[in-house]
Amino acid sequence: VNAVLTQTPPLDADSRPATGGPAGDAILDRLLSGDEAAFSDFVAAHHGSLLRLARTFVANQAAAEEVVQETWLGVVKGLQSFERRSSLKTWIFRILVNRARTRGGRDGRTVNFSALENEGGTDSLAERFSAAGRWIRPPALWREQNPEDLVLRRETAECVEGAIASLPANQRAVISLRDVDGVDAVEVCRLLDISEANQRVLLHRARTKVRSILEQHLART
Amino acid sequence: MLTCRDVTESATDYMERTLSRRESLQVRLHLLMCGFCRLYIRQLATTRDLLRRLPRSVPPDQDVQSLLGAYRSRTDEDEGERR
Repeated sequence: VNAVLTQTPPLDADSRPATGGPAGDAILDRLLSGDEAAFSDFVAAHHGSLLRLARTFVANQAAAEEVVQETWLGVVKGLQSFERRSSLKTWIFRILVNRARTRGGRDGRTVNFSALENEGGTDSLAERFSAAGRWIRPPALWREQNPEDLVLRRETAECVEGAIASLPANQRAVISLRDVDGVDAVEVCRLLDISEANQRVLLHRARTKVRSILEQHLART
Repeated sequence: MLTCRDVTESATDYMERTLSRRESLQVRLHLLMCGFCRLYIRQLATTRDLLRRLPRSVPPDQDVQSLLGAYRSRTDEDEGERR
């Protein structure tokens, strides 16, 4: 009970490499010195995140892969003139968003990240409450509650990936940046050019949906 | 009094700490009394933590190789300019 009431703290253990702060500076120094191993690791660490974000702007996976590749070339070109005013990660995401928007526009696909309507499907929880707002179908108990154990199962990780992929583009962009990549809310608003209220609504809908899908996957039978 | 539906609708704002003090208190009061909503919030937090821990996807080797090529020649150029 206490764990929930005191609100869940942000994660300490970050499985992704830090690219802001002193650790980010250390990586940047290695990248600037021509350290190829550091560069390969860096690409590997961020490739999936970039691809996921790119996919929200463009029409298909092939276009997203091209945008990511272009982004990395832009990173290689710009690295020497990178001013350490933002974190390296944020800077790369910005390059990606610019290129992805351009590419999406050229292909006749523009995502309005502020649009909250026509997202397909109704609130996944709506029918689980009585008219008085109480649970009729309460949350099902999960076979496993610990995220560390859960993520080790391939089918659970795949289920989460599938859940993200099923979201509308704007929700997908927000949940990927916020929850998968750990970008803070202010920066996400800047990247996607949306208001904070909008960002919260999109994050809420996305998490609600992903939880529902996980519930189906993990419910004790 | 908040209903269970209200609590689920405020769940993200509660976790993000963007509720007012009063609203947050109302959620906490509800959670004290409602095991289902506690379970719901805990699962939402687990969902968030799981997202954060997703395994990384590996880029295709040929992409990495071509980027390494670009990186190498760029580094060489910069070295050249410095000389």
